[in-house]
Amino acid sequence: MKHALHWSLHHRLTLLALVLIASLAAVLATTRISIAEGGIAFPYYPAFLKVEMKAEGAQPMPENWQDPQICAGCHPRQYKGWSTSMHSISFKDPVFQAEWALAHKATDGKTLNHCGGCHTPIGVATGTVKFDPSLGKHGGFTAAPIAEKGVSCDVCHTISGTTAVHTSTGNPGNASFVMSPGRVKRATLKDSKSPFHDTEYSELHTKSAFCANCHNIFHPDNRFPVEHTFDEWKASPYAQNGIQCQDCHMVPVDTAIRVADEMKPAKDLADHGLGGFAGMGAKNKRDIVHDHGFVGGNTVIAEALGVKGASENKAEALKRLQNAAELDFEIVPAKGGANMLKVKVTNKRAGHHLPTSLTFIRQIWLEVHITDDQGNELLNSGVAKNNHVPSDAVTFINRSVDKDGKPTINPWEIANFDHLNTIPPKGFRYGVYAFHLPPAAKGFKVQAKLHYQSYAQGVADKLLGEGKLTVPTVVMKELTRDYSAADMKTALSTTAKMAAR
Amino acid sequence: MAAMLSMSAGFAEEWLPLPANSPVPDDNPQTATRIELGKQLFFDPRFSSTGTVSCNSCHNLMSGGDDSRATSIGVHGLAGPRNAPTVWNAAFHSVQFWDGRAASLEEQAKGPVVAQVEMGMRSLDDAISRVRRIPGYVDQFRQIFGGDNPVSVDNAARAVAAFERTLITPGSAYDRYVMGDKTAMSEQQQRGMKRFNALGCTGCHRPPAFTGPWLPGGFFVTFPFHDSPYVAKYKLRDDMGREAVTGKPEDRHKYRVPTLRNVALTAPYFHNGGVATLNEAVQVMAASQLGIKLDTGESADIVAFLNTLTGPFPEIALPRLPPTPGESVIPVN
Repeated sequence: MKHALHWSLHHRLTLLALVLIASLAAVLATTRISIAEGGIAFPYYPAFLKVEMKAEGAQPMPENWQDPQICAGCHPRQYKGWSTSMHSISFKDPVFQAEWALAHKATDGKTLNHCGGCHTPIGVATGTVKFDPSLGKHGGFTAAPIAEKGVSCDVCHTISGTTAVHTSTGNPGNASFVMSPGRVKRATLKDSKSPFHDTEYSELHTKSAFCANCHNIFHPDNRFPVEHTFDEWKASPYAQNGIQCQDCHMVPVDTAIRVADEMKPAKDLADHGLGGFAGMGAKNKRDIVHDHGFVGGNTVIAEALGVKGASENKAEALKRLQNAAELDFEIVPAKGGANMLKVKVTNKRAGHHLPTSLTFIRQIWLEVHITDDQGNELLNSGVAKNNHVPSDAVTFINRSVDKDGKPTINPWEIANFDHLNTIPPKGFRYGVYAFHLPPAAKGFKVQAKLHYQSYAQGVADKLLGEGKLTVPTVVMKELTRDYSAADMKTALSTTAKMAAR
Repeated sequence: MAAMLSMSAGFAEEWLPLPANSPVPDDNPQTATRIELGKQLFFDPRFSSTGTVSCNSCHNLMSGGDDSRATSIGVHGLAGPRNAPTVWNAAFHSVQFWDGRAASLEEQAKGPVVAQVEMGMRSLDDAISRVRRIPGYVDQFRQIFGGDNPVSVDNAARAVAAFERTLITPGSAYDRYVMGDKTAMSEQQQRGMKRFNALGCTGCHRPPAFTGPWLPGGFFVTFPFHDSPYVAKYKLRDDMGREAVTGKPEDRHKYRVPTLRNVALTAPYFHNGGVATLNEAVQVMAASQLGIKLDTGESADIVAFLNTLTGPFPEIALPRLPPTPGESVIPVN
């Protein structure tokens, strides 16, 4: 009897819970406000973005954010840098727009705020982002003019905090920041004063934790970390040495190289030469004035869009790519002439993996040629055909799969990586090749090139249409070495002796 | 086509000429009859308490669009606290008055009529009732605006604003220069132009009108920003600026950025008209906003450049004002 009562109560409670869940879901569906884990309301879920308006009850409007042209008046240097950066085209980038459109159609619009939260925070905040199926190959998006300027001055400089601890993974990412638009501009100077705006010091702006809120992306449903640049940095020697994203990506490339070589934050480098005035009419020279070009590895889009000054940004990006990695060879001879070539690829100067972010569509691969002194080609691998990376190439990317383990590169379908091969900061990976040395050969030459594409040609073809964009291939590093057959024999006997011991 | 000049620093990478027309709001179209009515009202002193002060008294269109005085003289010889800004090219400002308290020319036009130290009317209703007693005006208001109450304060303001939108001066030496006439500016003036940009002046005084950027709520800047001996010498911080309008301490000493078009004709300078010459004004700006001191040659170059922003002025014939035969709308005592 007691038992029966207990069961019935249990059933009733379950029923009550189900009713509550159903009604909650109905409320959420009608108010479009979603509640993530932890009971915090996120009005733009699945973006973890929040907006704090100064006036109580005010709705965010496009005019609450200032046009970069306004900022340019006193900060022409920062404006110029930003206007050539990926941040300035984070919304307009046609590759992104097409990917976003495909995601939008595949997920019934669920990715509008998920992608928009970082690519057009103002567009999401003001609700002005609209899908237009007539744009591009797959459809595209429009937004209020200020929102189309992407990650503009007033996006970052009105950020007053993060919502990182309240995200569904408890980590920063998926636009986990708070914007407080208004006269107060926040940045890294403690005593700055402007004749135009109010100023506030923000510790957050000095840290990688600031950038983390967009440079870490997890799948909204399955929570799989699709992009994890911040996490990669956090586990790296750079983080351990207090080097922040800003120390490499907000300084000229030559400084970034020194940061990685000396493993010190930019401000601690001797004679870093980064001093100057933060704005026109400023009286105090600052120890560091940060670049706002946010140069990384993208050499494609700004120039393709005809952005003014894009070539300078591209030159910087090329130099970064060309200084990021190092190559070395190791040859392990074997009896019978089956030799092993190990190409060692070291991530020498990137504070995140090589490549990072969309590790499943970026391409870093080895092209290797071995020829003997008679002119015979003993091996070739990784020779691109029609700008496509061949399947025999050793690539340093991650392979993404869906929930059933089937390969996919559609970010909205990714549930796992089943093969990890990106190169961690200061770490290395090998490309391993076997080759036979003909008996007549007196020597041979090994040539290796490390190539980079921001995305695979197939991705560009799919998103923009065939023939629309040839993805540039950047040679990050190349190495050529000559070996004599005699060296191999000596090496072989040394190996044999060592083995015998 | 705007000339592109390469610059080492500064904002103005694009030197734009003044447009041939000023921005016009949707609810006040620029019709010939509106403009003509506005012109008559602009020149008519009968809407001041004493019948002595018209818009043109302080904004003299036969000269620089101001009154050449530190602060203006209104009815009964009363003087206000601020320098009369030029009305030439006022249409290119996003807000009006030194402190930006009017959002439009229409709103601005109503202010001076009832300012006790300017036109001194007790109320706008008093002013409009004088208009209603002048048949020639009533006819025009009816024809232009129609409706039940054509002779209204708002309609009068619309007419004056429409007229003011014609008071623009494209085609200056600077405009001709940036449109391709390389002989329009002397070498010194060209040098001054580059200096003006490189120093950062264009950060606030932006081409083409050399005023602040167009922002819906106005573009306001602290003046003086840096400390200098000029602050005491010219009493630059006696006026609270926009704080007096908003009550917000962060608006203290903030002003709308005035246009530099025709600045050579609008001495004396600044909100209190305390600085007598353009050369001195340039030095005050350099010290107050940029924290620098210019040598004589540098300031002379900039003054030379500022002179290229003068005129040309459209021909304006004084209008006949509609009469009230046999009587006056000004009270006898």
